[in-house]
Amino acid sequence: MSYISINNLKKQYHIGSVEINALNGINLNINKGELVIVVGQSGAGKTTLLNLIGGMDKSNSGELIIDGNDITKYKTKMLTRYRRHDIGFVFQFYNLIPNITTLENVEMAKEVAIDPFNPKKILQLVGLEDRLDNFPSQLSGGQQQRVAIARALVKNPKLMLCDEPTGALDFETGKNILKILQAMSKQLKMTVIIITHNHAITEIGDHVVEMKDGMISKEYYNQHPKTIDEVEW
Amino acid sequence: MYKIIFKLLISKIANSKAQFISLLLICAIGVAMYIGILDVSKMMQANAQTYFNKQKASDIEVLTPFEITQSKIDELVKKDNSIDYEKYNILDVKATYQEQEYIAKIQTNEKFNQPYLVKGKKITKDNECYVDTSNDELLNKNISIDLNGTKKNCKVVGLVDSPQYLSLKYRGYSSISSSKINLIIFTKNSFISDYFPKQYWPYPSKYNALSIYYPNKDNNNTFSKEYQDFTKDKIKQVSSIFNEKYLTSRDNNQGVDAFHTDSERIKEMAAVFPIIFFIVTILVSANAMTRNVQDDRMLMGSITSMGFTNKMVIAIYLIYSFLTTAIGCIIGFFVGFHLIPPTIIKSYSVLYLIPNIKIYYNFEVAIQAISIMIFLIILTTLVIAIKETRDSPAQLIRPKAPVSGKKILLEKFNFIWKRLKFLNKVNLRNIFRYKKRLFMSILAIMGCSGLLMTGLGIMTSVKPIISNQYTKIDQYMGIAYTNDMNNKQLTTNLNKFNKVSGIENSEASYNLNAQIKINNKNEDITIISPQNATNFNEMITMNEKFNDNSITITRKVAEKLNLKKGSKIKITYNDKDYQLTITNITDNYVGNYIYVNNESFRDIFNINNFNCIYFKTVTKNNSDVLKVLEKQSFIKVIDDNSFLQDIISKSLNSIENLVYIMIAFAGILVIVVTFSLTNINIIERTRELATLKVLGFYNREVSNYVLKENIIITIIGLIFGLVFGTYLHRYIMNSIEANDIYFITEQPIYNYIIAFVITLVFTIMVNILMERSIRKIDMVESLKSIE
Repeated sequence: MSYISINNLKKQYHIGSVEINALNGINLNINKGELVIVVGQSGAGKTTLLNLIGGMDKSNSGELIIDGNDITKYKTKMLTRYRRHDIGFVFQFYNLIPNITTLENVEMAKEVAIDPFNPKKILQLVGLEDRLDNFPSQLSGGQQQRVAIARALVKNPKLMLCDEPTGALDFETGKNILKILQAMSKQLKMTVIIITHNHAITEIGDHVVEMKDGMISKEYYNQHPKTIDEVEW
Repeated sequence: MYKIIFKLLISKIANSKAQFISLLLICAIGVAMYIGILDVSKMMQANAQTYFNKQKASDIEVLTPFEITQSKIDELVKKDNSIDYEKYNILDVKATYQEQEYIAKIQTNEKFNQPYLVKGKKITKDNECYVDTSNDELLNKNISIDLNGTKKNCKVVGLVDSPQYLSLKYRGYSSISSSKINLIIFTKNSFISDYFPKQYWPYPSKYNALSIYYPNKDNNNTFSKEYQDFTKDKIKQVSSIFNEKYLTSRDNNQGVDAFHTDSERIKEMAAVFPIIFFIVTILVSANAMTRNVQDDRMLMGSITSMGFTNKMVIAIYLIYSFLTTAIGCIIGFFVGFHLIPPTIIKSYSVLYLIPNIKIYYNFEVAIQAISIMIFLIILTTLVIAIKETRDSPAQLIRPKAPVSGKKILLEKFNFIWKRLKFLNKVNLRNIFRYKKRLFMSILAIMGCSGLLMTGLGIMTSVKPIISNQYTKIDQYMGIAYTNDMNNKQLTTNLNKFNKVSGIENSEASYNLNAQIKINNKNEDITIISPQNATNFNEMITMNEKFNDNSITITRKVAEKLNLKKGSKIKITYNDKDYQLTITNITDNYVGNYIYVNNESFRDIFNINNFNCIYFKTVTKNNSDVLKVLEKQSFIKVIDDNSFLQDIISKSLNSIENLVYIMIAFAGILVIVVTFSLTNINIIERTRELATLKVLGFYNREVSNYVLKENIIITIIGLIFGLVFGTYLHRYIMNSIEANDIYFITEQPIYNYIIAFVITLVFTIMVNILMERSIRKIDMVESLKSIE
């Protein structure tokens, strides 16, 4: 059985009296340890899907089975616990807490984890061992995103969810970030889902999901995913 | 374009309901407090003045033991032909109803100082009368009035108040008995004119009283300086015709004067309160508006980028803050006038008989309050809005960079810092992150808790006066004043005195009224020299037992003059100065006294007689004893301590009511202020809190994260507030200080505890309320990327 199994998942938003179908019946299976790239234009429903998988939002119908449990049946508290123990999030705009240092931002996530990694070691892993005592505002965008990744990783999550992690970064920095994510996925055998609108990135994924208008338009597996250095865009 | 501004405004209000309402409420409270407190004295005086106008209160009363002859009146008219006057009778009599005897005044004025009919009907016949409202048991009863031996029956048809007797305290002593007047009878002149006591009234005319009224004066307001100057002048003029000691101007009427002092005292006591309220209000609203404007940077950016000018954007905020403030002010206006003064005035109505309390809108005070409030809030908004719109549209549409993190001072003390739990460190750093808000919050909480502390303090200063003075210190029930008695007379009189059934104990003394100078002002002080020092301890409990060498002074004077044991005090008696060396200081709350042992007293003042008898009664209810004592010919006047106790406790009760209002308002302010500050704190950090939620913090953990900060800030504010309250209370007690009442200015520890607990409980209550909005924070919405 797949690690994630999504069956006919639907989500509607209401903006005023207009109903928008963000997800129009998604069926998707993801295996443990896969690096999944979800690609599509903005408005395709990528973020909505990611938010649902991450337990940040609730669907209207369908099943979302993670590790054998249908999280669509979860109440708020269970969802929180699910996020707390299983999920690591990385956002486009980092969402670091501005008033605490790099190390403290990572420690913050460690506070709620059951089996966390050592924050300093994780920061070393993302190459920030020299910036432990800096505040977010003192870091570059790429460095901030690395802190965000470290923060997601430190919890030792089963599932890493990354929403346009390179969206706000320049080419080189973005590449660096993806390199880290790919390495993590391989080294820690972690399931990683990355959302992007950049088709070039799909080449590094084990599993590629293309979305359009709230549906999956194409889905395939790369037998030999490229390393990030091999990809150009 | 106006349509767009209007639309933006509406959506702005709809999006920030909580802020809009709390801002509105704060303005309302501030204005209500300002109006209410500052207007109480004016409203009290306005009500009194209306009453005076309606009942045609005279300007000057002439009450003589002689005839008021026509020639004297002619003289008066010659000096000022505009005057209006009325001659009437006023007599001290005794009246009885069934077995009950009343010491009464009967008077016949109709044109001026008209009695105000509270209950019953108008007099139509000669043998009908009114009595004052304190004797309502007499309504519709036939009372018997003893007019110089002739008993005449009279039916009480109505209960009335009279502007001449505003206060129950000051109805004076009767000239035919030694007691205080306890009944005022109003009747027609014809009822008594035939029975005027002939033996001491050898005059042909039947009038011994005269009301004078000046219709052409500029200012008829009894409580104005102008009026007082006016009557002073007129008294001077009239005193060339009638002896000055028979003249009383309206403002010098004892009841009116006491009323005036009491009403002014409220203002003195409470004036600081609205000011602090105002400061807190402005702090909080400035805080809220800053937040409000910063919150809308994006919107402002898009409006300005669409080509609207900054001025229009600023206009939206000005209208917004004007709207909240204006609505708040209107609510405050009505609450201020309708709630606060009537409550306080009502509590004073046990002391001062003014019928028909009406609410007068004092627009002067209202305009003051409202214009200050609007001006300050608009100004704050303007400054903030201008500052924020100075950024270019491009800068504006990006969120303002959050205040960047900084190490706090405490981190330098590594030995403390490293011991703190991780989340506590974060909390501490957050607290000091927004210095401006921290400062404002602390100041606001400090203001509220300080007010609470002050209110409680006034209560504890005022409350124990009665029990301390009349149960702990004064053991005697009354003092019977006599003419000077030498030792022989004293023995006879004491014998008679002690035979009265119900008297438990008595002790003779010589009491004389002297003056001392406090801050260059003459103050009255009573010198008491008991016949037997040891026995006198049974009448008054002193800190150190009174003995044959004691010269004991009461604490108030001692503190005012900075006297210690062994200090000398200068006393003026009959225009001569005397010096006394203080041996003891004793607690006392009402009145200023020096107790001088009889030997020193004789030496210093050269008085060998006695002029009063302190007495205790067997039972507390001493009215029967007093009745018998009144009939003793050697007694001139009896000071009944329980009567005094009653009056003072009523007056203190009124202060208590005022304090309750203050405490209640301070409490509301605490709630609104913490609500507003917490609300801002949460809105401001939605993104941060949503991030925590994403990380998997439970709702409770997220609330703790923010709310702990609030509680820490509240506690810091509270600590300052308690100190502030202590001083504010002292300051207020000093400013309302009556020269003959000693207030305890130390606050008991439980006041601190109560103020602390109340503020904290309110904060926690608000926090619990705020947990809901934290729970409602939507992760997806709050973290939406800015595209």
